[in-house]
Amino acid sequence: MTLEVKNVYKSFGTKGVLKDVSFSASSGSALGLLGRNGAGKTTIMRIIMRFFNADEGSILLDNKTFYPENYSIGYLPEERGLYPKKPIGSQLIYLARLKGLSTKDAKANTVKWLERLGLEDQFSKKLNTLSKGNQQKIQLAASLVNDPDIVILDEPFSGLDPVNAVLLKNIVKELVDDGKIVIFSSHQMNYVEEFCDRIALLNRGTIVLHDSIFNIKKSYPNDNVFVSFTKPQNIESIKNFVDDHVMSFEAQKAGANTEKEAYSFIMKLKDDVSKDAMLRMFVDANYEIDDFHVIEPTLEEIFVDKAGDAI
Amino acid sequence: MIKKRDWEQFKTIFSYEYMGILKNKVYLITTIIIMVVIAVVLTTPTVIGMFKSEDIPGDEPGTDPVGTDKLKVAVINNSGVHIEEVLNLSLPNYDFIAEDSNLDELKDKVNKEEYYAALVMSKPLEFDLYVKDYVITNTLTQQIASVLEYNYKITELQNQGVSLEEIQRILASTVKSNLIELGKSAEQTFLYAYILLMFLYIAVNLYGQLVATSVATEKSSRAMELLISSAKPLNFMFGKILGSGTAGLTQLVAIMGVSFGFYKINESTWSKYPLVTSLFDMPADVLFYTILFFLLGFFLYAFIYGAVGSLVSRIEDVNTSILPVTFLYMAGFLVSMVNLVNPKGIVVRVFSFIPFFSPMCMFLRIIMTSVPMWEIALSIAILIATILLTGYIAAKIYRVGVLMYGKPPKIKELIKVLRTKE
Repeated sequence: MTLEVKNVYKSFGTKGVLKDVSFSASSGSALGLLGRNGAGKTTIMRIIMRFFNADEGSILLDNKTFYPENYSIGYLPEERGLYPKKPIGSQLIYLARLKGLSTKDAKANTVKWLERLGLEDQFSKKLNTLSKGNQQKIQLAASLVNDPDIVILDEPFSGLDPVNAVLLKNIVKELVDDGKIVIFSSHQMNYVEEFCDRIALLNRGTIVLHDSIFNIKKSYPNDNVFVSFTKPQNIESIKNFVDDHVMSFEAQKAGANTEKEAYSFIMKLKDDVSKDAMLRMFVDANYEIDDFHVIEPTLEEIFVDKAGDAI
Repeated sequence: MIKKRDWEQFKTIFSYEYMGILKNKVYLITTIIIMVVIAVVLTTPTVIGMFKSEDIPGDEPGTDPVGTDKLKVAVINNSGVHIEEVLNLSLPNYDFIAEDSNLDELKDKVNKEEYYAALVMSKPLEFDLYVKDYVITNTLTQQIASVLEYNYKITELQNQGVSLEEIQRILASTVKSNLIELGKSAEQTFLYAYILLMFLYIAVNLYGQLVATSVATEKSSRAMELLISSAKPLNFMFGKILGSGTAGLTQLVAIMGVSFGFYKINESTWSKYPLVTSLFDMPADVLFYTILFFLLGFFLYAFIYGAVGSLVSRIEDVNTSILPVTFLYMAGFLVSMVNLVNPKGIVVRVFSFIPFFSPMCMFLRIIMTSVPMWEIALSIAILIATILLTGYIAAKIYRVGVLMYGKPPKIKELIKVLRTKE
């Protein structure tokens, strides 16, 4: 299955929120919808869920108009909340029933997801007796209790501690492996980079980048190389060596905060010089090398590059 | 067309809401307290009757102060007629004493409660009566007036040469009359009309506001977005409104059932009180109309309350936002209450066709007067049409309102919402 957002426009009053937004997500891969606060991430998700309609454009599933009520969907809204004074188990069963499960399946799934999230002993407790982080997990259980085919998570990582973030990451990976369509939004780029195959970068209502992370990174020049020398050999000789080869590359000290950084350089290759050739120069000159890798731009740097301002 | 999925969702929401209210502690406790109070009130006289033997008759409390001590009434008599003796004979509960002191002194004595009252007669058929605190049940003025009147008539007729026997025969003559009501007896219906109107007013308000609060709670606890991603907003609105309405009906039936049951148990005690028996012997059609107008009134107002609730962001704002709606309903209630004594008045007749007031005003007319069938049908038809229209508008507002946070929308924006198509 492929869920496709096609040329969507949306404005509230005179304020244009989305301008010609297009992206797609397929079964068995996670799509990260990235952007700053107010970029339009939640709006596009709400349009997919048909809380309101786009002014223009369409949402398609396998080239047919997508109606959320006809599919099994798990949606984690940006606004978190359930009935604070009602028992957790009954709320989850209620939601599963609403999503079309039989009473029996609803109960089984509720128990299953509470166990998966390590909250099985909270079944009959009231929601407001739980900690914020655990309430957040209940919210996730509420979204996934129907074992949905299409999962849409709005900022799923906000409010989770590192341990729970890993738990969520594993759950998302499982969902992807099970062949579900997973779309989630985030402004925490480091999480996204770890398990997202594809991203759509939203800035001020327009998609500035939509591709696989691999392709995006490949499209950036890879002529910056990080080189770290093993032993505190004569640092001056290294500097001299670097200066001698100024025709081949420019070098910069990586920093001076740690001992390792003192012996590390970021070297920008000049035209016609390959990474292999540079490495060979060091080896031939008998320098011992500890670390040698191409510096890829981080998602954050890519975003700054594309959006023109920092996150 | 109602799809199967919608029906399933509606049923799930309906039973969740209904059971939610039924399991609610406040609801349970309130219902039980009301039922216990009714049971106790209906049973108490029987229990008292068991301990007390039949010494009750004749113990009817009078409207005048009774007791061994006679109440002293000072009389300043400038009429030229000697009346004190006649008054003392005719009104044995009072002691009329002639006084020569001036009025101001007497007023002072009445204030100090040395005298119960001061009677000042200037002419044979004219008097002023001074009392300290006027009690509405006090009939002394009328009693004195009738004694004076009777005495005057006898004296005047005697002066004309009519014999005392003849006078007494003439004055004692009365007209025997029978009022046969072909329609409904206002006397009988008054009490239960009063009680049922009260009941309708409270029940519709209570359960309507419950809908508003319940919607606003879902919004303020931010559960709404998750909920409407799980089921259609319309199913939520109808499930919630019908759930609350059914919970209301359950309470109503339970309370009515307990009242009727305990009345039956204690029927022999209550049969002496026609006012009470009239309440429980109410015709079946009154019961039918009570439930019908409860449901119609409830749905009309529940839709409005639901829509208003969906526009509120914080639970604290519910009360102020629903105030105009409550006032609207209160207007119908007040019109019907004021016209309890005049159920045939033109105001009630007009109001009984205006949908926002008809649940109370038409109900009042039906139980207290004989309303032509076509008028009832027309009123109900207008009401149902209004409910459908209100439901349609409320559903549109609800759909948009539930996801709107921040300050409540202006009327202009609401109209724009109503104009947009699905």
